[in-house]
Amino acid sequence: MAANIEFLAKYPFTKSGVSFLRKLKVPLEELLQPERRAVLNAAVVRLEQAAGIKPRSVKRAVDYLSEFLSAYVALWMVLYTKNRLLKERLADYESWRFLASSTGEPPDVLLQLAKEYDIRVAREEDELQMHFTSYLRLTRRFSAPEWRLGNREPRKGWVRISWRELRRLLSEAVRLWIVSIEREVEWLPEELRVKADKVKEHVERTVKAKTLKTRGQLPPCVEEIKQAILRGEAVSHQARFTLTTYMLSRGATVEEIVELFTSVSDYNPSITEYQVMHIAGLKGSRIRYRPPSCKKIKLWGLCPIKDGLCRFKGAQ
Amino acid sequence: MQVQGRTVVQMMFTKYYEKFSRIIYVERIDAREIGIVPFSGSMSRHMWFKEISSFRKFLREETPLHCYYSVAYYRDPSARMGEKGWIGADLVFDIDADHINAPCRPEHTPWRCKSCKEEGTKEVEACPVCGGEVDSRKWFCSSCIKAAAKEAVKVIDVLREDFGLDDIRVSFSGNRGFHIRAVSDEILQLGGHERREIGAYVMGEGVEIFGKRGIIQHIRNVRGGAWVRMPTVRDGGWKRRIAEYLLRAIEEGEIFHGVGEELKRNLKLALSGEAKPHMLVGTKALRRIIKLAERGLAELGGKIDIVVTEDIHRLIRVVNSLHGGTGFRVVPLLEAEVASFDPFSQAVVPFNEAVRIVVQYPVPRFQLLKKSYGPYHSGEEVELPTHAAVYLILRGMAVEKRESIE
Ligand SMILES: [Zn+2]
Ligand SMILES: [Zn+2]
Repeated sequence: MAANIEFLAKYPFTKSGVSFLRKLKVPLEELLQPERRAVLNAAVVRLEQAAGIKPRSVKRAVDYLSEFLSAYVALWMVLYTKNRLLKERLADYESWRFLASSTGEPPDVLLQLAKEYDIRVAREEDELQMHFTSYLRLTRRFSAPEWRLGNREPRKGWVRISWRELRRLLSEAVRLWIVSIEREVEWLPEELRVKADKVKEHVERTVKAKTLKTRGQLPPCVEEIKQAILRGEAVSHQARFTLTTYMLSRGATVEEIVELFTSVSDYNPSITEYQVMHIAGLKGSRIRYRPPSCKKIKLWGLCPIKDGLCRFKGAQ
Repeated sequence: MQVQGRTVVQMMFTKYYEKFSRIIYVERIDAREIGIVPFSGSMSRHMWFKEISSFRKFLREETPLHCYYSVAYYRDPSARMGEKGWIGADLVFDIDADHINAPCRPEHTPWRCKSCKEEGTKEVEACPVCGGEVDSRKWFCSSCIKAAAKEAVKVIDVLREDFGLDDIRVSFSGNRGFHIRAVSDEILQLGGHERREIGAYVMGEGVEIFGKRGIIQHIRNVRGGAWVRMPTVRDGGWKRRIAEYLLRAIEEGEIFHGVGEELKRNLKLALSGEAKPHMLVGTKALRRIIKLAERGLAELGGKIDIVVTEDIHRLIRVVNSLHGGTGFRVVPLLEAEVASFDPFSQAVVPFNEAVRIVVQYPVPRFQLLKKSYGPYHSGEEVELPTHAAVYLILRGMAVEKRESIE
């Protein structure tokens, strides 16, 4: 199925999107022409939404082609800043956009999208299955227990999923796609350069404000997790659990911990708050979890001390 | 290990490789990193052999104490770690009897008192003579290995049934466990995190027994009980395994209090998929069933060393090489052989020339090639066939008796 421009406007970060862009061969300079203004404006809006300066929205204000191009211009602006955190933010935003745009898409479109991301899915009548290799790659950051393979029923390598779950997994594929782009953009028109730098500064400022709040001696494993989060890296469920339980045991409040997590790129305030409160024993099972033992932390691969000489050893 | 104990070991290893190097095999050796531990000196890594024949020649000439190959395939295996060009890796599982508390262990845990030097071969908490602290060592018998083999069989079943991985190579590790290696393009490029999740799955970690998405799926509460969906043998993954476990428990007459005959019958029908899996269960009975399912999960979870599985650069022992901690051969096995494998007869290299050794630490009774030895106490001087002497020397329990040359 040849992808049409409406499809590409909705799903710019796909294989079809890349090859379409290649065929278009739009020089950056051309985007500065007055008749292309719409692209630049839409790109800036996209980026500002990604950085949290403006509220998120998928309302389309321009024609399909401009919308498609604006997605890439926003990406180039981010790549130009060489700022990892901003890239994570954009990735998260585009992932969210995907989820919002794909609501109600028929199965055939979703299956085509899976192909765009080399995701192995198989459909048999109403049953939808994903190969465990794709499934594991895409659920890597999902901390909810229902995504854990142990709570699924893999058979001969295939994991049954729902169509709704497929959409969620596809949106993660979009995120991974953007995060893994290593290309650099060395040149941008002046106007975009200024905008990009502004957005970058905004993001850096918000992170710095958070760094100050959590100073103090933390065990090296907890410190590493905290730093990774502040850098905007995606950390595992176990890492979040470790950080949360430890901070709680140090007397931190739920709000303070939620604050700390706001730099995580997949941040969703209500979910994070729920998770933290759950761990604190304020919600759900009402069990207040204790920080994991050194042994657990090692087992999870979170201990950065290789020689066993950790002065926090056993301290909880 | 004491330096003077090495010669007989070295002789045996040299003879072994001279005679049997042709059975040493490493698939796609040209893409693997080779690592060895020599008899003296430290480990060398980042070695590379273009062909198996040159590796065999190396073994004949150099006779290492241990030899390993990488589970990973590299573009340039001899380069430094970050520069090898990782192509992918087999998926490996390490099962070690050391991580399984076999019931026979107290029967063979040699010890020595730190104060009065009293010693023995059966587990004690403190010295029975003076009450002092004891230093004890690990020892393994064929029951220990059987326990490990049971774990290996579980892991293989999960790889096959749940992950659809059919090309599985198993070997006895040469010491007290098994290595399982799945070879497939599908898993070749999995990252450490994904491998860890597969390992966790095999172990049954993170599996919810009871809950909205649990093995026993909670639908809603009613007065005095709850509607649940029971797992069935027709389900996949852990649901199937737990369903089978519960069925076995019922069939074997496992009594669980609070579960009446009628409920048991209905439960059996649900679990076996002969009736609807949804049923109403009273609180007390439900609690019993959950408990039993939890026990099932703990029993059925494969006891693996997950650190090995997640390591995409791991080195594992070369098949048919000798283990430098036992002198046993790393034996490749067919899956059907795993359960009944006995290293104490099948992994022993039958070099029989008599060697005199001096025992340094209490040795429990043991069997090699169907012959019984020991128990020995420290200081005892015994004459043993080479393979048995080497076993005790490499385990650090004895040294070779050598004539003084002064
Ligand atoms: Zn004593
Ligand atoms: Zn034993």
